[in-house]
Amino acid sequence: MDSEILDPQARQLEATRRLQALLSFGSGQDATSAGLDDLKAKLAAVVEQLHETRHRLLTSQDNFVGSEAEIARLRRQLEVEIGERSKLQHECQSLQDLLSEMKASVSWRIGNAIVSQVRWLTGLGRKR
Amino acid sequence: MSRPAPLFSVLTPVYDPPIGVLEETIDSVRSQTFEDWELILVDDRSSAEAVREVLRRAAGLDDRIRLIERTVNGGISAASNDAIGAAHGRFVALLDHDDLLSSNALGVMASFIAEHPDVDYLYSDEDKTDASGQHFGRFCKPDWSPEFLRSQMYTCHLSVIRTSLLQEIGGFDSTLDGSQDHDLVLRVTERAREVLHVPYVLYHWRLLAGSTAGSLGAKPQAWEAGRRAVQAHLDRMQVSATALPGPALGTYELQRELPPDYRISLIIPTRGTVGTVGGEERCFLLEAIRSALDLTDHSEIEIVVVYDPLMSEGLLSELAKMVPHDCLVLIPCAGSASLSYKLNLGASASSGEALVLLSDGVEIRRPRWLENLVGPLLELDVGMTGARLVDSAATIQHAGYAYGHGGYLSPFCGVSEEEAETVSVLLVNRECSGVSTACAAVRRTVFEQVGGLCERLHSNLADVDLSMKVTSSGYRALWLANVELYNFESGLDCPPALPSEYELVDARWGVAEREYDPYIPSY
Repeated sequence: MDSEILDPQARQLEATRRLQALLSFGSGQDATSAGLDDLKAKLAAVVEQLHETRHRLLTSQDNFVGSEAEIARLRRQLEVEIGERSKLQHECQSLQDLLSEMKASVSWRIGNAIVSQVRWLTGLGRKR
Repeated sequence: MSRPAPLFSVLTPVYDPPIGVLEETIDSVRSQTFEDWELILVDDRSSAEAVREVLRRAAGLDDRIRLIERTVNGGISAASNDAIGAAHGRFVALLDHDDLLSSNALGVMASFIAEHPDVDYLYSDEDKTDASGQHFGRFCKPDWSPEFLRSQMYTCHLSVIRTSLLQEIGGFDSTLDGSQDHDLVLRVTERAREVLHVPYVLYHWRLLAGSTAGSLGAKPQAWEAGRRAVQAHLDRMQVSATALPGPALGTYELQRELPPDYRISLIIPTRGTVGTVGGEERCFLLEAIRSALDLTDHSEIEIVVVYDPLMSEGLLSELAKMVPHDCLVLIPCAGSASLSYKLNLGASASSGEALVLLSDGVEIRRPRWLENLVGPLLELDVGMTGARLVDSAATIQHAGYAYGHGGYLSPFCGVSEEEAETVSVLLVNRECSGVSTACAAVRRTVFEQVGGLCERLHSNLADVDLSMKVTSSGYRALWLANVELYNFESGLDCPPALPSEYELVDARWGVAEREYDPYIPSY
């Protein structure tokens, strides 16, 4: 991305230098008519090059700004996802703690003993 | 032992309200779920002794209620200033003697203040209530919109202001009674570090005969006082503009000025289309330029026409006759190129400090359009401005973009001019989420900073993307009701957006996820 932006900037600088050189050349000499036309053509070409470079700078800058926006948006999304995930993990841990606590309680153990007896009896009934 | 300073001082100047109404107003404060408040009642020498009796009784019932009895009637500003002088709270909340706070008003404000420690001014949504207690006319306000505040007093109630700031600016100006609250909020927001919109109805404005809620016409002097307040604000902010009465009571229009040497480039892509408007054949480009030049007094203008090389030579020579040679820049560009490409091309070849992107299908409707369109860009926090566009049937075509409900909207599109006169956001200038490049002004530095229009977008999503780039860079985008143009079909319209274009814009800005637009929340 950097080189994409720096390249048109360098081109713009070069074009500006050439433009200035041409303008100073024009003011310092008595140009013939043909020379003047040549100079005008050169000037027009450099001006066109300058516009083209400016245009390329714009598109490069658009890519840059767009990518920055995309990165910022993805970062925000990531933060939200991480937040959601940590919230879910926290909820999951709380539920696991609750479950362990419940399983360690006297009432759970009594209930479990009763249920296992019922299961055994039900199994026995099926066998018969 | 004195009580520690509360978070809120509720200030209520009182002058001859109906007794029952006043009692209900006081009760609405006493029944707040958030309890860290004081209520300062200032009797402005009411003519009815019964009013003072109610106030004294209220002060006796609750030690958070304090009463100041003025010996002479001084008007609402003088009474309010007495209340400000007596306020101990970190914030003051302004409550009129005949209105009601919702029971959670101060609690909601307190939670927003806790989340925004630098906030100096907060305002909530509000509704109206009639004598029978029926609620109606819910006003869902935009987020902080300084241009809208210049156009009308929209923040109103419930307003909560940091007390230290209020004291610093010297409270209310009694010479502007009638619009003293508008003036106060303008002065507060000039200095506030943060202004916050609280999007809940926390205030009920009771509709009583003669109240401003009932009829602005009941207090016509308030309008002129408001205009003077807006002009004083513009002068303090060194904004070159004149405040004029707006198109509706209580609204104001800003007439902008431009420095004479401020160079503006109008960038107009065209195919040289000829069409019929009102039964008459016209070349859209020539009419657009003719009206653009006729209806402005500004002369430092460069016209950059990005034209299709297949266009007739005759049209180009017509153009050359109409525009002085040194003001016209002609850029050839294949007609098949996208609008965003053409506009970028034109911008690259232009030399103005401000760029006006213009469709060749427009015709300006109002004078001083360029001054009013570009003038706001002289405020450096304004990045782009757009115009009110109407179609040939004079129905609204563009009133700024709004983003929300999973997409990009053109609110009020198709609304007739007659209907538009009843919708305040269509009458006055305001902030918006984006504007159409059929007529948009952007400061050159901003345009270059954001990289112009995205050339991967061929549809009008390029407008949306440009607006998002500008506003996301921290600049305000304004929609200007007083810059009005026809926008006829010139054949240069954008193609419908492709799914890939939606994807690109959504990847950058996530617009599809936005629940509501900050500036037209109710749309």
